[in-house]
Amino acid sequence: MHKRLVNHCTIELSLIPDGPILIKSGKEGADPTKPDMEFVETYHQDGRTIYLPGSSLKGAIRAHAERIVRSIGSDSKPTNPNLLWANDPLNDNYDYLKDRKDKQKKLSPPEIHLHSSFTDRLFGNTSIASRLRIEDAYPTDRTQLKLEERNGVAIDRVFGSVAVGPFNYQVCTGGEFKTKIHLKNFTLAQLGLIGLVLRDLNDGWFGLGFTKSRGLGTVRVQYEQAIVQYPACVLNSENQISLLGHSNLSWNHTTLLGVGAFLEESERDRYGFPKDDRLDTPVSAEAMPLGFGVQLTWHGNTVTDLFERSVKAWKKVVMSGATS
Amino acid sequence: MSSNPPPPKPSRPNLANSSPRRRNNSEQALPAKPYELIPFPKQPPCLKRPAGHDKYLPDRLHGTLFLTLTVQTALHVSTGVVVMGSDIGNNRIPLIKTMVQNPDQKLTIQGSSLKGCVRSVYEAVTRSCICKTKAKKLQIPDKYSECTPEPKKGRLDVCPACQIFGALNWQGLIEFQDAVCQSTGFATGFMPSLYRPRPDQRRAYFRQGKVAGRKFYYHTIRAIDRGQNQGIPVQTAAKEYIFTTALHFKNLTAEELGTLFIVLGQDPQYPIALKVGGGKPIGMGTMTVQVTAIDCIKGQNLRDRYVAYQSPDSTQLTGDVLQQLMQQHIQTAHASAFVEKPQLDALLEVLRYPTDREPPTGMY
Ligand SMILES: [Zn+2]
Repeated sequence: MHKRLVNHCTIELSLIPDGPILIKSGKEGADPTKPDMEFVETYHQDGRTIYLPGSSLKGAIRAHAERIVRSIGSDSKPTNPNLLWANDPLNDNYDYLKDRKDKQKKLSPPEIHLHSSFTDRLFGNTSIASRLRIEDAYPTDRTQLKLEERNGVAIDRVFGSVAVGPFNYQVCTGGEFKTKIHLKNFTLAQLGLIGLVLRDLNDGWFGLGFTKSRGLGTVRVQYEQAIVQYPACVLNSENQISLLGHSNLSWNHTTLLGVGAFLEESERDRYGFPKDDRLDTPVSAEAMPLGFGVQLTWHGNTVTDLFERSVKAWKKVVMSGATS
Repeated sequence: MSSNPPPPKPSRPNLANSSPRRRNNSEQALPAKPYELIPFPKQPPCLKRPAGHDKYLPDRLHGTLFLTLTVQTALHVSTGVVVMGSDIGNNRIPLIKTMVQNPDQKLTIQGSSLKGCVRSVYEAVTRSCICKTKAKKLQIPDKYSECTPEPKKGRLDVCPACQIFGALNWQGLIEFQDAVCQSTGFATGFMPSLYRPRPDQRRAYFRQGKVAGRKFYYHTIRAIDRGQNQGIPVQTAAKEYIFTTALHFKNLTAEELGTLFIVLGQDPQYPIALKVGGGKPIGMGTMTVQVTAIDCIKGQNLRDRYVAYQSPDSTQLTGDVLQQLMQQHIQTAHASAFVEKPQLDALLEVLRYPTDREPPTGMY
C-alpha cells in the first residue's frame, strides 16, 4: 500500500531561539582561531548562513516521541502487536521482523509494519521507510540572527580556581528559522503524537542541538500553516470528499482522514491501522490546484486545532493499550 | 604618530606598602581567609545507576522550577572578553570586562555558570565525587575521584551529583536556562587582581597528603568595590538587580528534588545563598533565590499530560501550595539521610545569608 499516497500533511513552522542554541558542526578544532565549537553552516540563497539541519531536528523529535511512548506505553514489544510501544532503535536487533522458522527471511511488508513499534512505523527502521521528513531550517532573515561566542569554565572544587577551560563555543540567541515537516500516509494518532512533541518543544521539555544540559537548545515553536492533502480524492457534486475509483468511499467535506480510512478492512487489519481513523474539523476542503486532489488548510495559530483533534485519535490508541 | 597620551599604566602593587603584615613570614600573619574547606563525608560516594532519559518514570518527578534570583552583593560573571568602554556606551572607561547580555541588552547569567554553582553545593552535601580539580590523583581521598561512566561498556554507576547534573558521556537530569535580568542596563564595578590560590603556602588545602575538603567562600555584608591593587573595571549587576530563570528536570526522586530545594536556600533551617561568578574572595556574587512556581508532574498526571493537547488542569503551583510541596520534599530529603548533615551544618556557617561578616581588608 505504500506505493499509493493517500494522505499528506505539511506543517510549516518557525523555530525561535529562547536562549542560546548550538547545532555543532563536525569539524571542530580544524582552525585554531575559530571557536572550539561552532555552529553548522551552509550555503543557502547565495550566501553563507548558519542553519538547523533537518536530520538534527528529526533526531530530537524522534527521541522525544520515543520518550513519550515509552512513558505511557511499553518500552518492549508486547504480545499484542496493536498495543502502544516504542523500541530503542540503536539497540534493537529486529529479530521480530524476521521469519520465525527461517531467520534469513524477512516477513511480508504488512507483517513488518504490524510488528514494528509505534515510533518505528512513524520514523522508519531498516525495513520501513520513514513517513516523516523535516526540511533543513533556514533563517527567515539573516540580518536578524544574533550570534555570540560563549566561554565555559569549570571551577576547581578544591582550590576555587579554573579547573577546566576556558573553552568557547558559538551560539545563536536570536532570529527565526523556518522549516517544514512532511508526513505521508499517516494515521491521526501519529499526527497527534507529533503535535504533543512540538508542544513539549515549545514548553521547553526538551531542546535541540548540543549541550542541552547547559540549558542550550530551548526554542519557541510558531506555526505558519498546516495543509492536509488527499491526492487521490476529489470533491464530488454533493461537495463531499470522495476517493477516485471507489464510489462507495466518500466523506463530509470537513473530514480529517487517517491512512486507515482509505483502506479496505482486510488490508487495514493486516497492517494494523486503526479503524474509523477520521475526525470532523472546522476546516472545509478545497480542490487542489490542477483539479486533482483535495486539501484542508489550517492557518497560523489554528494549527493547534489540528493537533488538538489529532490527539483525540492518539488518546484512543493509548487507552486501548491501557484496557487490554 | 599619535598625539594621544598613552593609557594610564597600572602600577604593580607595592607589596611592602599595601600589606605590611604579609611580609611577616609566619602563616599566622595572613589575614583571615575568606573561605572554608568543607570536609568530605565519612563514607565514600555511593554510586548508582542513574535514571536516564529514555522515559519519564511514573514514580519520579518531572517538570520545571521557576526561579527569581536577587543580587545581594555586586555580581560579575565574565564572558572572558575585555572591550573598550565606548563599545558598551561608557566613554569614561578605557577597558572593561563584560558580562553576557541577551539580544535585548539585558544582563544574563549563563545557564552553565548557575548550574556549576548549584552543583558544587549539591556535591558538598551529598556523598558525591570531587568532580573537577587539578589536585593530583594521589591527593584525592580514596574513592572520591571524578565519576567516569562508560555507557557503551555498560558502566553507568555514578555519584548522586553526577546522576542529576551529569558526567562525562552522561547527560544529567536537570537543565539550567540562562538567567536574564528583569531590567536593562548595568553597573560598573572594579575587580582587583586576585591572587591565585597557593596550595603550597596554604597547607590547609591538604591533610595527611590528601585534599582536605571543598572550597566555599563566605558571604559578606558587601563587596569591596575598589581595592588598592591593580585590577580592571567590570560590568556588573548591582545589589537589588533581579534575574529570572527556569530549570527543567526529569526523573528526580523526592529526596533529590528536596536536596535541590535545600541547596537553593529554601529550607528555613538552612538559610543559605548562592555565590555566583567572579570576585568571590572580595565578597562579590551573593544571590538569594526565590522559587516562584513549580510545574511538577508524576504518575497519573504524567499520563494525563500525554493524552491531551491542552494540559487538563494547570499543574503549576505557586504560593502556599508551592511552599508546602517544597517543605515536604525537603523533609523527605532530611529523613532519607540523602543529605549529609555534618556537611550541611558546616556549609551553613559559610553560606548563611544574611550575614554580619565584613569583607576582608588588605590582601585577598
Ligand atoms: Zn560523580
